[in-house]
Order: sequence, then C-alpha cells, then structure tokens
Amino acid sequence: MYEFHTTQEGTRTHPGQTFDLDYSLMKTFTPTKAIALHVGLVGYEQRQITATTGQAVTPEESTQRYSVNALGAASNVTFPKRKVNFGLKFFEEFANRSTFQGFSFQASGSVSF
Amino acid sequence: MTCWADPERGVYPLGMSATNSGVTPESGFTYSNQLLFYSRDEVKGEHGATLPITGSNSVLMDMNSLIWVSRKEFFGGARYSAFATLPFAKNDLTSDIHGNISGGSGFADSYYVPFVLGWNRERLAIRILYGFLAPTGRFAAEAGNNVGSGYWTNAFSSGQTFYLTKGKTAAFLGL
Repeated sequence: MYEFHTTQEGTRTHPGQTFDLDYSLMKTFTPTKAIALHVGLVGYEQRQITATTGQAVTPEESTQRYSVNALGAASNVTFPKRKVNFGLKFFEEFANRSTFQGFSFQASGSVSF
Repeated sequence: MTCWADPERGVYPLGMSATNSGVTPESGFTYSNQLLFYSRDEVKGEHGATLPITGSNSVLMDMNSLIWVSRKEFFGGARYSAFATLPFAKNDLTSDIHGNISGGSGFADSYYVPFVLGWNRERLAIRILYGFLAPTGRFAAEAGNNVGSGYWTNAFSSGQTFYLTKGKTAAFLGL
C-alpha cells in the first residue's frame, strides 16, 4: 500500500508519504473436505518515503524517516462449506527506526453470505 | 483503519492483510471482523538505537468490514468489488515518569475502498485497489484524547497470492 496524506487539520502538519508491505508464506493442510488449516510465517514492513513538513516540524525532525520491520506466525482455519474463516497472527518488531517498537497480536473472523 | 494517535507511523494497521491479500472473496457479501492489538515499549532513534525513554504505547482496534463482490466478470475474468471498514479504537501513551500523556477511545477513521478489481487464477490471485481513509475519528490539535488522525489519506494498493504447488497447499502472499 502507498499512502498519500493531506495536511492535518488544526496543526497544518503534512505527514510524509508511506509505503507498507504485508507478506506471508503459508502451508495448507486439509484433514477433511470440511476444514482447511493454514499455518505459516508472516511479516510486515513500513517505510516513510517523503518528509513530514509543517510549522511545528523542525528541520531535524523533517529529515527523519520512520521504518518498521516485523516477523511472526499465523494460523487460519477455513470451513469452506459454511463459508467461515478464523485466524490468528502474532508479530514481533525489530530494528525499527524513528518510531516505537513492540509486538502485535491480531485475531480475525469472516463469513460470506 | 489507522494506528490513529501514533504520529511516528503511517495510518495503515500493519499486518492486517498479511494472509490472503490477493484473493477476491466469493460473489455476494462478506462480513469480516479483525481485532488488532499493538503494544510498544521501546523508542527507537534515527539510527535504530534504543532511546533512554521508558513508557508504553498501545493501540487496540476493532475493524468491521463489509465487502461486496460482483458476479459479472470482465477484463480477462476480473471481478469488481468494493468494501467499507468501520473501526473502533482505543489508544494509550504512558510515560514512566510523567504518567498518562494521552489516550482516547471511540469511533476512529474509516476506510472506504470503492474500486477493487480481482483475478483468481489456478496458481495466482491478484487484486488492485484504490481507497481512502476519511478523518471520521475525533481529532483536535491540542487534545489528549484523539482517536482520529485529522487528515485524509489516499491509498493505492495491490495484493498478490502465488500458489507454490498445484494443489494450493503452499502460498506466498504480499500486499
């Protein structure tokens, strides 16, 4: 994903453009026709591409670019006949720059009708 | 659809599309709910060094998405789809020295994707998307309880799923 931001209301700060990448390598197991289990590795990356500018942003701050890196694991369970899916993901961040660093836990579910 | 209140990152909630990003759902409607929790307790400097600042930042988001996929195919088997994501979020920034610095909860910036084209093939699935984030979350320049970003974001993206085996038992995906 590539993000183009407008100027922030009230501060006149214009956040820099951002590039995001999510990715995974998954293996599928189908013990029966009614269920599919997907497990694998996941990760995400984020890079600030252009400068953040504005009256409240110092020249030094404007030269900085945040970057985010993370790796983790994911599992999904799909019930094809019921058109239902559940998933869990965990990411651990590393080697970030000019931002916070930590982890993310994500749970999801979907149903088609 | 943003790590709202986090000034040092983009607005996309990282990781939420790490799996199945290229696959267009079946024709009709799909409801999806994602619960995303981000916790951070280190502050990294420009060159990656950990700064001597102790505290924590957390963001909890509940993303409600309604997706519609057309039945008709065109452009070599592409199906058109669109979706909207209505999120609720809670964020907190706390310093060990100064205590709670900011925090807010409520309806956050919403994500609308009016244009998605998707091709599902035997060994490959691709989607191209245009969407925008509307600043529907609460934001005021001097407030400490913001939930929104206070700005619009135009977002262009593409999802790809490559099936590494004929039986689709292994896949590499990227967004």
